[in-house]
Amino acid sequence: MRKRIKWKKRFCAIAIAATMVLAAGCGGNGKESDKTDTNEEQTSKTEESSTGDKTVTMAVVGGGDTFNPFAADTNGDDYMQILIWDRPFITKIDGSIEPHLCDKYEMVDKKTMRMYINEKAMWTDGEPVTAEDFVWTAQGMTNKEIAAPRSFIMKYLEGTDDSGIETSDQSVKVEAVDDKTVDFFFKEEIDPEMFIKMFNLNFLTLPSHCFEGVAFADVNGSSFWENPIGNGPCIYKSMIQDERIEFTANKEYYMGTPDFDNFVIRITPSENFLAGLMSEEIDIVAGGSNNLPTADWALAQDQENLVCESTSGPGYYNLCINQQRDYLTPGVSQAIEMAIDKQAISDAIFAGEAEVANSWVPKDSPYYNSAVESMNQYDPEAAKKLLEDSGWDFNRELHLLGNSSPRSVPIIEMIQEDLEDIGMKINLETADTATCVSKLSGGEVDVGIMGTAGTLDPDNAAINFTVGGPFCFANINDQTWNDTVNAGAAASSFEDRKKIYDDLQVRIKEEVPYIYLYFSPEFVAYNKKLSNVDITDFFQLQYSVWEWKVEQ
Amino acid sequence: MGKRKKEQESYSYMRDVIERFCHHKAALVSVFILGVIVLAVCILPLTMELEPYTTNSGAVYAKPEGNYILGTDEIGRDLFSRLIYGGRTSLFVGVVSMLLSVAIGVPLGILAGYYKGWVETIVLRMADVFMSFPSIVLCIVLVSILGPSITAVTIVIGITGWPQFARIIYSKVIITREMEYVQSAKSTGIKDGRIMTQYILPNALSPVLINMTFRTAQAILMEASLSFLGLGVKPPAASWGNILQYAQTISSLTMRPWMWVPAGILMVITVVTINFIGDGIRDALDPKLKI
Repeated sequence: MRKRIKWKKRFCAIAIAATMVLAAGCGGNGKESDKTDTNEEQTSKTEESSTGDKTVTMAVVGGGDTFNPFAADTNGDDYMQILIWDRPFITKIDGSIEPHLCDKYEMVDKKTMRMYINEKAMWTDGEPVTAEDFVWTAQGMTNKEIAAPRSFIMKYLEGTDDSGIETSDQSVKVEAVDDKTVDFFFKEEIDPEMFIKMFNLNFLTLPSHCFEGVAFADVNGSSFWENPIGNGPCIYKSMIQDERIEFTANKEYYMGTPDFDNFVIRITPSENFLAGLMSEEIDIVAGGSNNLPTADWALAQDQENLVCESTSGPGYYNLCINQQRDYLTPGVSQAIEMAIDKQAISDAIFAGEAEVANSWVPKDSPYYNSAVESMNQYDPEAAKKLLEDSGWDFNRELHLLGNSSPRSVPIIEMIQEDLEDIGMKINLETADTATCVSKLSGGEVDVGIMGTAGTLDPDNAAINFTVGGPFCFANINDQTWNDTVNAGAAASSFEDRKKIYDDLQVRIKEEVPYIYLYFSPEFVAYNKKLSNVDITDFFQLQYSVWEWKVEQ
Repeated sequence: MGKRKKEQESYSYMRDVIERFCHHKAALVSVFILGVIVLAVCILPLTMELEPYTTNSGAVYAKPEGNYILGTDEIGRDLFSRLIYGGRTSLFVGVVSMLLSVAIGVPLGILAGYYKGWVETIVLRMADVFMSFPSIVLCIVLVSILGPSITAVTIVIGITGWPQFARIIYSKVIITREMEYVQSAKSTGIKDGRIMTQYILPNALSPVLINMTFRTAQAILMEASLSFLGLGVKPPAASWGNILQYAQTISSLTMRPWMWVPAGILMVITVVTINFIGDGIRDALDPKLKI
């Protein structure tokens, strides 16, 4: 009797356990689901399939923390803003400039540029985009109290100082000619294409009518940023911090109605990009610093549901040498550059696809100075000797800072190994991007690695040489650097500019405030439901989403 | 004669404990396996030319063959070398952080149980505060403040583990302090410190010994979790956890199992063997257990 009861109990226990296992294992539709899926996403997917709404999901590694273009200082912020507000033009990889918010520009005289705003450009509240919006935005970008991190783009305009801040209240000289025409007055004659390529990436025109009666000092704290009104292809809908930003399509968009209803920017670690693409939780990766990891490229190309494209861009990574440290002399810095095997980094991390950099100017740019190719080339023996001759104290620890992302850590480890091979002691620190930016610009480390999106014009180096600027990561206080980059921007002919930039490239190799490592390739993959996607603009965070075709 | 008898008694007790432990087959096998692992991570770096930090850009993601017994990682480093050196890190962090937890928790627990009153209140409430936080979250926050390094990880894991030992020994001390021999010792004027260390502690230590093994296993897993999240040891140092980071990408999971399977298996074996040893110690110290 007792034995029977015992066996009954055992049987019941086994049956219950088996039922639980079956219930757990047989749930769902067989697709792996991301653990960070929220109920909203599952709800929106259900809604999508039931109402026929098309949603495009783009993956990025890091989100930003502000919708305010005046306060933007990282790419994460840019992703939040570029779909809401349009740039004046579209700058292509081949150097051409195409219409966007502005149809065209022309030089009225050598120091005045006139931009013509698209007649159809409208704000999402129904008001037209006017020249006054440009004027107000320019005043905001240069305002002392707003203190925009990217004010440097305004420094060529009359009424601003070398960092782009107004010299007196609303002194920046940008004037409305009429409702759809705006004039920019420069301090000196400059190459207009240079200005456009630099200015275009960071100037997002804002609706002045939404800030009527609001002092510039109160703009950053305005409630406008909680539900911004834009002129771009998308309208902000909602956000879950560090997870997703949701937009709806702007059906009245002047460049053309987007072929989707919803656009989601999803913040995902890059290691999960391919998994997301394969399970169709992500439709496209954003490129630039949001590339598919090299390790996943081969597997991505084998996927039937994906289109994989690679391209190159002007984005680069460099080492920033703290110029305020007495012991980091030019000789020591040259030795550091000579110790680093840049080709090995390209081979290991990017399967050889990354172009080794000797300058911030890509090799196929007409401004590239080939003379720098032979300077500070990889030679660990010579590096060690130079280090000894420069009086380096081999007991000193060099404080090296790198990004803590899984993609960046191997790069900084290779650099550390190269430097240790020539006898240097390295104190390696890794941190997130925001901390790296803060520590580098605050001069808290000896050497740090930083990435720059780059532009097609060599003047993009200006941000790294603006004394006291937020992106002067080498902590330069020698004004002659600033003067040189300004002269390069101000020179009116290609030949004059070429001479200045040639000399600048050589000077950088001699004094080494920066060591350029490589130009990062773009590895972009997207779902086949998308077509007409031009990835060559992704490096500049230009996404012509209104041109994309989206299958149901 | 009395001293000799005492020594003989304690010797026979120890012998009983060892005999009971040896009868626990799983624990015995675990001791052997763990011994092999510990010896391997200690001795192999001295006898073999292991290079856990040397990169080879021409041999990235190499399969296990030739010079690379377990293949290479994304920058061509030998994974076998990193596994061995990673074992050193993981075991070091596991053992030292456990000892730190014991060093903090045991004295506090004894004091709380012996003196009771406000001492007991403060210690137990502090323990409650620590235990109310999920330990991994607390570790992540503390490591983020201190900065990732072996030292920081060890200290943080050690600090978060003390309440466990404090409460265990507290529960034994409040019983032991009421024993007649303790009361006699008090009445003969022996100082409190001596009573705690020589009369109470030896009789309250057995559950602590058992939990030391379990805590070591927990600490190894905690270190691996922190390293997996990028908050563990500083690069380029290896640990089993940061080797397991390779398991994050789908291509490594499906196409390059040699990068993460060995570290995973080794970690599982280490944790399981430590737990079995803990079981064996528990059974060996159980006076009711008859062989």
